[in-house]
Amino acid sequence: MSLVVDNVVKRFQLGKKSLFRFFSKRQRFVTALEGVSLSIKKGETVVILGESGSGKTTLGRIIVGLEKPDQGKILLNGAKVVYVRERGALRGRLQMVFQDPGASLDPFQSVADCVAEPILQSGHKKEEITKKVIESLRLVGLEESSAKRKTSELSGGQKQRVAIARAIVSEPDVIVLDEPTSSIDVSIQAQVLNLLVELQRLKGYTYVLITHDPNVARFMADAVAVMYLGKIVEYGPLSRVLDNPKHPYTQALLLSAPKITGATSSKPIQGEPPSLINIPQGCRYEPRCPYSMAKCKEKEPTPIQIDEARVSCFLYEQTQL
Amino acid sequence: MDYQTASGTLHAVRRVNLSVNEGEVLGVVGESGSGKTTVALAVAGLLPRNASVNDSSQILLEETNILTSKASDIDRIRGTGVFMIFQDPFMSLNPLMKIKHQMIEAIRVRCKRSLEPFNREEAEREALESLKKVRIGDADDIMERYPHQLSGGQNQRVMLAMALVEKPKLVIADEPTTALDVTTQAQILDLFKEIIRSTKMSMMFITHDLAVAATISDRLAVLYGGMLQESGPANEVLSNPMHPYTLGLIKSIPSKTKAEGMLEAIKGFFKWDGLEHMCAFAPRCPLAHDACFKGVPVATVVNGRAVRCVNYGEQYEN
Repeated sequence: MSLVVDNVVKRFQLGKKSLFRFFSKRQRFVTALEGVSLSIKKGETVVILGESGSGKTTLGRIIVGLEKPDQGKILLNGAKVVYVRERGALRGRLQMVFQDPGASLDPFQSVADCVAEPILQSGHKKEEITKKVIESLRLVGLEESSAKRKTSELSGGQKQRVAIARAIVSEPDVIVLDEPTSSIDVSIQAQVLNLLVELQRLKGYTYVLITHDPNVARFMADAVAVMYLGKIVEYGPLSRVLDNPKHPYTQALLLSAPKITGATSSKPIQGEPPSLINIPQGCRYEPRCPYSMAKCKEKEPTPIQIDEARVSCFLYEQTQL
Repeated sequence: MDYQTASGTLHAVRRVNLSVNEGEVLGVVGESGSGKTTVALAVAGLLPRNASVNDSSQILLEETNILTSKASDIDRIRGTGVFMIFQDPFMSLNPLMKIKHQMIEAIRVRCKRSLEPFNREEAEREALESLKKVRIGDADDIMERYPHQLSGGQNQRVMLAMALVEKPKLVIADEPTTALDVTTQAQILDLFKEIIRSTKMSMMFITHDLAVAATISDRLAVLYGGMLQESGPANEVLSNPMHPYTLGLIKSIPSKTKAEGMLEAIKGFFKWDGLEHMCAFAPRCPLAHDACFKGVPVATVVNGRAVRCVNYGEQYEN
């Protein structure tokens, strides 16, 4: 019982809808994901940690079948996850909670209708659906009375609870959480995170949590995958990756996060991520890396196993030999 | 300060007293609905038309009261006196103008307001210098570009460069790093600190993120429900929070793993209803008791820090 992401590659063609597409000589692509592999045990949480443009949201969408990968596949308990519009899609087994509940919920729908949507086509009777809806609302801590209200009448934290209720109503195996707390207030964030952990303990959901916040990652994760420009640069158990980071990017990312004590790293990471259209030859992080070597400019590092983690960096090549 | 809305009057900000000294960064922390942006807009003289300010209020920039000044006077203050940096730099920059021309325009405005002679070549040189000061890579190239060709971090640097050429006394930064990545955010915060240190500008830094505020502020003001709940030196407020809300905020930042136990969340959520005659935080406060609901507590000064909580003296505003 597990979710496997096997060597997924995703490219988006540039200018595909452009008026001038027939005149352009060569096609240009953005490589959003380049050979991403992960495996998650049932009931565990893997956190995808990365900045904007790292491909973390694309990965989440591919996992639930909202996008088709160009290469590679997603396996859920051995069965291949198919694009949602195709035959054989695993309906209801994989669900997604989006970043902004204000945008992902229909403002004119009542809470009950909204939560019921994923199971309307499942062949259940009307009473059964109502029962399931009320049960999931109860699980996320919303009162039965809120079922008749419009989703637009709710506060941000309540909306995100509705989004979670909608995700769990079909009793899925895997829930992809795309920055579930980044659009809500700090004082509410802790409530929602607690709720997610409680639901996981109760129901044994497998979570793929997408976030840029190392604090959220620490609280939620069993395993952490750090992404940079479409590749996983470091992947391993929580304690290994966040407490003893090996890849220079992971180290820099963790140091950049502001701390409540006000203490900051002596020197923030320099530069900005290069464009995905012209990915630098060699290691993708090399232009910003303080440990850059001649070798890093020439070819891309392959993942190296250190303890229980996988790190893509030439710095650790010798230690393996 | 009230907002006239379709459903009546909303008291967005009440009894807020703040001061920023020269060369100081005041961090204003609060969640949505706390009134932090309203305070900022009022200081910049940018309140929307449906906003009205109580007659007894005043906002003083050195000696000028922004609230009672004429529009033309406020125009002079804005830019040279107060400069505002918004959350989304794309929205504050003109998408149809090259960075160069926007920078030069800012210099022209300054010259006009401070009655200096304006010289185009000199202005261009100054704009370039200012861009270099904010450590933007390849400043010559950036001058010739449009905002949409730059990243969020670069645009925010351009905004700061513009603030530098305007030479304001006070910079108001409203969530300037919220739209940026963590690594870019660290760079921008570092830059802000350096600029403040070298130019002696004052800054009001508005954020919902306590950790960001901790990194940059000298003093902190915590807003909740339109009122100032606690204020004081940043390190003291964070290491020894006195108001239950500040304490709750600090505790709700995830700092442990799920195996180590649940987070201590603040219960409930913020509602405006019925907050007129009691402590605004009382409905959500873990320490709430009868006294909290009797009236709005006064801001008690304890060890040089202001706290609006009955646990530090049971006195109410009338």
